Parts: sequence; C-alpha cells; structure tokens
Amino acid sequence: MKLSNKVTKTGLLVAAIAFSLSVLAMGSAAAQSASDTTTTPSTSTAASGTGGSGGSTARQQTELSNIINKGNEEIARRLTSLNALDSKITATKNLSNTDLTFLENEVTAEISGLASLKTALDNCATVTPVSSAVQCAVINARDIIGDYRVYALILPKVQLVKMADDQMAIEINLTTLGQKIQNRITNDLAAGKNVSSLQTELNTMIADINAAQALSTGVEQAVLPLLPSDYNTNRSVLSGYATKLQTAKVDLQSAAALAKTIISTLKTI
Amino acid sequence: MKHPSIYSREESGNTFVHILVGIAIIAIVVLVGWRVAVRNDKNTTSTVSPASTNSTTPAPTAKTTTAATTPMVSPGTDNASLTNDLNSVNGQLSAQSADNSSVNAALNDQKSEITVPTN
Repeated sequence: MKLSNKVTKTGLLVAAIAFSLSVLAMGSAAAQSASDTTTTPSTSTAASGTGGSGGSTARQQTELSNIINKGNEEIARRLTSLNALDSKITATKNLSNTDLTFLENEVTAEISGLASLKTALDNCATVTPVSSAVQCAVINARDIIGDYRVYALILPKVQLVKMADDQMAIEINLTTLGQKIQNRITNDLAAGKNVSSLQTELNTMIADINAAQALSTGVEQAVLPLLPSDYNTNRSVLSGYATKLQTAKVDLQSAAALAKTIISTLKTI
Repeated sequence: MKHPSIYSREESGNTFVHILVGIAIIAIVVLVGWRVAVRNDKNTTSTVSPASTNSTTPAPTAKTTTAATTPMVSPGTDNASLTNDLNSVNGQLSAQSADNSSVNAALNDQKSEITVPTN
C-alpha cells in the first residue's frame, strides 16, 4: 500500500515536471498572445525534473527539441526587429556622433550576441546525457530574454529616442521662425504699427517651444543610456517618457498654431 | 648727277627719315606716359572702398544713399518666407504622429517579452 502511494506520488511529480517544461517551450507564444507575465521554470527545477524522470529519455528528447526550436524562433524574431532598427537610428537628426555610435553599437552587440546564443542553443543538442542537454537549453533560452531585453527595452528605447530627436529638430526650426517673427515685429513697431498683441503671442510661442525643448531633451538624455540590466532591475524604467513626449508634442503644436496666427496678422497690418 | 633727297645723309650720318621716326617714337612715348599718368590719378581718387583692393573684383561705383522712409524688412522675415518656414514646421509636426504610433507600438510589444524567472 505504501509502495503504491510512493509510485503514484512519483508519477505525479514526473507529470508536473513534464508540464513545466512544456510551458517553457510554449512560453513565448503564450506571451505574445497574452501578457508579459509568463514565467519560465527555473534551471534548478528543470535539472531536478530531468534527473528525476529517470527512463523517460524519449520525452526529454522531445522537450529538448521543443525548447531549441522555440528558442531559435524567438531569436529569429528578435533579429528581424533589431535589423529594422538600423534605419531608424541613422535617420536621427540631432544625436551627437557619440550618442549615434552608442546606439548603433548597442544594436549591433544585441544582434551578434543573439547570433552567438543561437549557436550555443543549437549545441545543447549535442550535450549528454539528455537531462544535461535540457538544462543547457533552458539556460540559453532564458538568456534570450534576460540578457537582451529586445522587446522590453531596446525597441521602445530607440523609438523614444527617435521621437525625442525629431522633436528637437522641430524645436530648432520653430526657434528660428520665432526669431524671424521677432525681427519682423521689431521692424513693424519701428514703422509705427501696432504689434503689441503679436509680441504677447510670440512670447507665449517661445515659452511653448522652451517647455517642449526641456521635455524632449530630458527624455533623450534619460533614455539613451538605459541597458537591459536596468530593465531587469526596474521593470518600470521606461514608464512616463512617452507621456512626456506627448506633452512636448502638444506644446509644439501650440507653438506652431501661435506662429500661424501671428503670421496671418502680420500679413494684414 | 645726284639730287639732294630725303635719303641724303647729314654730316652725322642719319637720314631725314631716321629723324622723323625718332620724333614719332618720342611723341608716342610721351603720349602713352601721359595717358598712364592720368589713369593712375583717376584710380587713386576713386578707390575708396576696401573692396577695391581686391584685384579680381571691380571697384564698386560710389552710391548715394538716401534715408529710408520705412524700416527695411530683414532677410527672411517677409510674408512668403515666414509662411514657408511655418509650412516646413507643420510638415515635421505631421511626421510626429508616425513617431508617436511607433513609440506606442514598441511599448505594446513589451508584452512580447517573457519575464525572467524569479524562482
């Protein structure tokens, strides 16, 4: 009776471990459709599980193949996304050469690192015994996520920097336009024209530009140096920046609207 | 019988033609010298602008300036130029919508990442 209970418990344990490994293999697909909270089993669990499964070598082999195949799919997906980033980075207008090189090097390092990881993951298939091979594959599959943070950090980071950079280009042009309008108002004032209301509107326009400038410059400076390790430490490391850029965008739209009003009035006086 | 001619030699040995040619040459030299002297004098009095020191640039002719009755419009501050600049800015602002969409899409794609195991 006691022996029978023991056998049953062992069977349940094996089933539970097998289920955990299946979750690992399908984890990524589940994450795409559901949320970012899918949790892969820890290495120790996988190792003890494969060790405890005893004779189920065929099942472990299948699980190993699943992990490697799914891992390769995830690496390929990330490589495609990273390669598409290159044009975004080179299209930036106001980044210094140092910052531009930093971003390019970061993306290049992610691409080469993931390519090396693919090789390491594939090589797990040659590890013996199969329980160690599974352990090897689990470790490498986990590194796809934790070491690179392609979707969690790199992609949104580059997009945020790009948007901030584009805003800075607009701010430069709006500032130049504001200076020209100021010259025109000064000249019209010297000619005896009533431009006092236009000066007030111009001052508001310049204030809007300055407010936007502070936001977009601040976002670029804060986001640019972030690394995957920063995200691992703080999952909310990117929160709030999109909102700041949105506010800056509204400020710039307001400044442009004021410029339009001022220019329209200048045409009539 | 020999007639006295313009080719006849004087006691010094020069012909009459030689004398005429010499006078002509002296006259030409004097005339050319006088013209050059007059031209130099004109240049000295007209080159008052520093720009005229540039040998490749013709000296500007003197201009009389009249007091402007209305202030001059600074370069680039005319209506057309301001409108042009504004249109350029508006074009850039339109592109911000695409940037905004890309940022939101990337932030949504964060869900594509699987969290690091903590156990």
